[in-house]
Amino acid sequence: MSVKYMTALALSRAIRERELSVYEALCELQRGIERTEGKLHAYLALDPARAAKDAAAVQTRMDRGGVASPLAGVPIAVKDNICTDHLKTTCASRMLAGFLPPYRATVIDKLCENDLIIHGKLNMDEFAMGSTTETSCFGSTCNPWNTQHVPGGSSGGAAAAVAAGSALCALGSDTGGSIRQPASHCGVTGFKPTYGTVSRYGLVAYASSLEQIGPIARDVADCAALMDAIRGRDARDSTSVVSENTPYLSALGEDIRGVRIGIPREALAGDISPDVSSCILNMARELEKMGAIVKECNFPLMKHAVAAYYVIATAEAASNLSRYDGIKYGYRAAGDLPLCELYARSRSEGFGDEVKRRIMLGNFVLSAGYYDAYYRRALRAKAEITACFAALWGELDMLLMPTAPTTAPALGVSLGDTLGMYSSDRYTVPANLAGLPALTLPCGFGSDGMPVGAQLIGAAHSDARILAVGYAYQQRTDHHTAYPKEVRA
Amino acid sequence: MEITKEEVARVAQLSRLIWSEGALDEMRGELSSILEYMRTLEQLETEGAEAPVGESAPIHVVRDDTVCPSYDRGALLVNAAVRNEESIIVPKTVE
Amino acid sequence: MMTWETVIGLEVHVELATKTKMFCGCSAAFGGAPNTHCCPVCMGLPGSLPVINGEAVRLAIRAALVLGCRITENTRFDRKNYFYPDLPKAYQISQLYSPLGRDGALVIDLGEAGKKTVRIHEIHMEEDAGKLIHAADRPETYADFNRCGVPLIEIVSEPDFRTAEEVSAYLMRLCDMFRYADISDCKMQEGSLRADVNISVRPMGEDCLGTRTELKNLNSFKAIERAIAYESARQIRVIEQGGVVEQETRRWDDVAGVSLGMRSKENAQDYRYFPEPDLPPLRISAETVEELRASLPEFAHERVERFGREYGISAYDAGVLCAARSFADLFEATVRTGADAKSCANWMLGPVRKRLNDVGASEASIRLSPAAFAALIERVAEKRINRAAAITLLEELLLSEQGMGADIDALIAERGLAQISDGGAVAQAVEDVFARNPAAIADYRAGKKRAEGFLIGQTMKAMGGRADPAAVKTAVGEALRRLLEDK
Repeated sequence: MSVKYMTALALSRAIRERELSVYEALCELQRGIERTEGKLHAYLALDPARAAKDAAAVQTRMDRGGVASPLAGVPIAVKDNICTDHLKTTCASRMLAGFLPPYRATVIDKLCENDLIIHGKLNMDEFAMGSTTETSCFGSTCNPWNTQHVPGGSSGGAAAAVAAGSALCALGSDTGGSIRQPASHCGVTGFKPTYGTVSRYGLVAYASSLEQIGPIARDVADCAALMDAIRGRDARDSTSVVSENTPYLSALGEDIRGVRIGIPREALAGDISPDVSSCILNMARELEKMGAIVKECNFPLMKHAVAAYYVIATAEAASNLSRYDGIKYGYRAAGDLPLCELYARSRSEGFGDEVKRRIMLGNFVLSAGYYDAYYRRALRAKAEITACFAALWGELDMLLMPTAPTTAPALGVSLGDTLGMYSSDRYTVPANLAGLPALTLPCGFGSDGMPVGAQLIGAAHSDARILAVGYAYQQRTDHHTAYPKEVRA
Repeated sequence: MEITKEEVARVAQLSRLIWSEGALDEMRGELSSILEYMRTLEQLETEGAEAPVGESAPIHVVRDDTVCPSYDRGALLVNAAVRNEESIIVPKTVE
Repeated sequence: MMTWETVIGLEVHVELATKTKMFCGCSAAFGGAPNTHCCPVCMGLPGSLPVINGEAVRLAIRAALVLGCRITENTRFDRKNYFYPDLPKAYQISQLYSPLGRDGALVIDLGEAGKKTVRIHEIHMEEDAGKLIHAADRPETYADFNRCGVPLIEIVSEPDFRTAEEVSAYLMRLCDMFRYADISDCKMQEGSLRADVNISVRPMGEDCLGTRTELKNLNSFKAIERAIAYESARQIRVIEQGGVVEQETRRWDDVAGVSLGMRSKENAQDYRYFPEPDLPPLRISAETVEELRASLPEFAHERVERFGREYGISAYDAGVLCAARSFADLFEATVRTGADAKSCANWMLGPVRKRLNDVGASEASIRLSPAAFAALIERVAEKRINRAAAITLLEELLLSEQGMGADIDALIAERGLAQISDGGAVAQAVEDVFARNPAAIADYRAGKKRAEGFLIGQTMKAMGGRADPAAVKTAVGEALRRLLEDK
């Protein structure tokens, strides 16, 4: 069987059983990348020489025996806002176009400890701000199911590559849906863990209180294995928490009969594509056949989530991005400029339009005279939304709802309608605001042949449970096994 | 929520961002409509204290006062566009 | 003629005496080659995150307790956002909304003017910025981030000061207490203590505060006094000439002796404070507070008063004893072993002090144990060893490891230092000395009283310095009188 259509777990098993070597797997993957990159443009950086070296080292360790990780030998690519010290970390921005970090993110250390091989960095919306990957300063990635459409964002490169088979698996980041929405648009599986489960040390910050690093892969089992590799309390991240010892992978086979799943009325009402609603309802029926109890519920605060999200996220972003001034690192405007002008020119030339817009918004909502009306109010809304979710867990174990209101839009359409673009995040931002685990699964296709994703959201630290339900669903369905015809490795 | 030209100029200064006059006016319009959209938050009649940002309960997360080896200076400075061997160079600041 | 009152508030920044920085493990030591105490966190590299230094929090709580503040149970950090090249993240992690300590007070001593209570509005934790070094010969500035991230506390007083003397007394008391409690070394010249002065004037008797200006760049106590004098006079002049004092920050130029308005942009800062999302709130339990309160030393000024009450020591002497904590500790431990307080004080202020000064040693180098010290003092009082011999022994033991477990009686015996008080031996020695020094006898007979001292000295010498000086003096005196009577 060809590497490119394997899951990560299956590949690792095959390597351990000596069906092929780590290096052979890597080479085949790289050929797949060569075949697809011209159309897809998912990658921003590749280092085949270094990957080959790493592969050799991993092979030696595996031959010696005692390598425990179920993902050993697997090549993985990561979103370009996760700091690596052997590949540039640009955040798809002119501001960091040449930036090579002198240190690595904690998740990179953990991937290496688990003997994965980090072979490339993936395209994204600039500084993770966007829903289409079109704000990347290096050009957009396209959706392998239809190259005239966006892959979603901001982890568009990751989702597109995994969908096309030019990556076996990937790590993305999710601040307002940036793992889940592109995974949904590209027909792959993506997971945003409970806030604090995965260390943010080395993740270039956009909105610190909302974001998490998480896996994008072919199926839930791969996501669970990746989660086991990357999660855990990190002394370098004060917001990271201790997570339970039992590997998520081993919890996957758990019996899901009797699981209580709620579908918020608000989620299927309003401006939503009928294709999406029908896929969600099909999934609901499938889950019922598996023994889950599915019912309607209310989530009235959903309509405030987008506003609260954008106030908080832009405020934190404005502050987090103030450090980019061209002086210590990054793009510095040319010419012998006095300090104030140096700051303004470097930033105005180094940042793209969407980033600048969000910095302006963020500084506005934090500024004297507006802080109470906007920022403090948004923090209260965040608390209310968190409480609203918490109240549901008495009667329910998790929620089922769409990941996005439509299938992937066409290229060039979204950036002209900022509010529309923001509003399309309404299904994903609530889980970020409340810090809850959320899984997106391919659950069907629209009449346009484009993938539809469904979301399962659970209580804080119920990550294993969510993954178990997703796993059970994938045992009975095959949406996640499809590869696009248009672009595939 | 209509923002004035002065307000958008003030925020641009806070952000250390510059635009041409026309572009700034366009930004003013965009910001106005987005901020208007954000006013839906006013419908939330919440009196209570805001939740702490991040975890919902306070946690005592501190580290020991043990000196860790510092990073190699060259590695830390290498990404600075204008520097000498020891420091990063900035335009002269007036006190 | 209008009488004016000057109203002053202080914002004091103190560097905490930790080994590492506030939010990372880099060394907080002063100095070092530029950018050699740095890491991704204190350099503000993308993706870096702060982690709170527990020792800094403990020292900050102790400082707040020293200043009589209420400790906030859930204290939290906030971001203060502004652009400046010495601030790598373009925000300083500080505290605005729930500072560590509030509503404290410090009593200061104004000598003859009595005591005054200065109210403390709040004390909060924050991180320091880096240093900018301006090139003399070209339009360049060099950024050194060694100091960036060093833990600071900021102490904000109420506008309770009325004179520069009060300000100095406050700062000195603060420094003494913080040094004593090992909270900070408070060295203005190294920047571990910095003060900004907020100053306004108003007609005497007026309740309302005038417009205040903030004075920065005050680098010594003297500079603070000069700046206060200048600025209050300047404000009075402005008002008397019909003008209005502008609320602004002014830079003190100590060389020229004037304050200068800074660019007005500085005064229009909007710091956009919001809670630091990378740091959860810090819960400080009542138990922790009590534990830290108990760890505070009795402060110098409190100890001076107690020494006066308990031991009858003069304020001056107590002041010298309490100047260094270990010195006062030695005194008290020695007295508790049984030595007489006044004798002990005399020994410490006399021979011990002299020895330290002679060799240039600090009080911290003293090794002599309180028990040995007490024994030495007692043996002299009991006349078992004379004072000169005791001083020799003291000088030998004071700073050496031998002083730690010295057995004074054994040493006296071993070295034959026991004082000779035996009257017969003394009389014999006197006789011998008289016989050997007829010229001195003749001088004495001739009325030269100095010869008596010479004969006493010779007798002491003949007895190897071990005689009881009083007994020798008496014996020589008596022998001389008998001589005169005889002839």
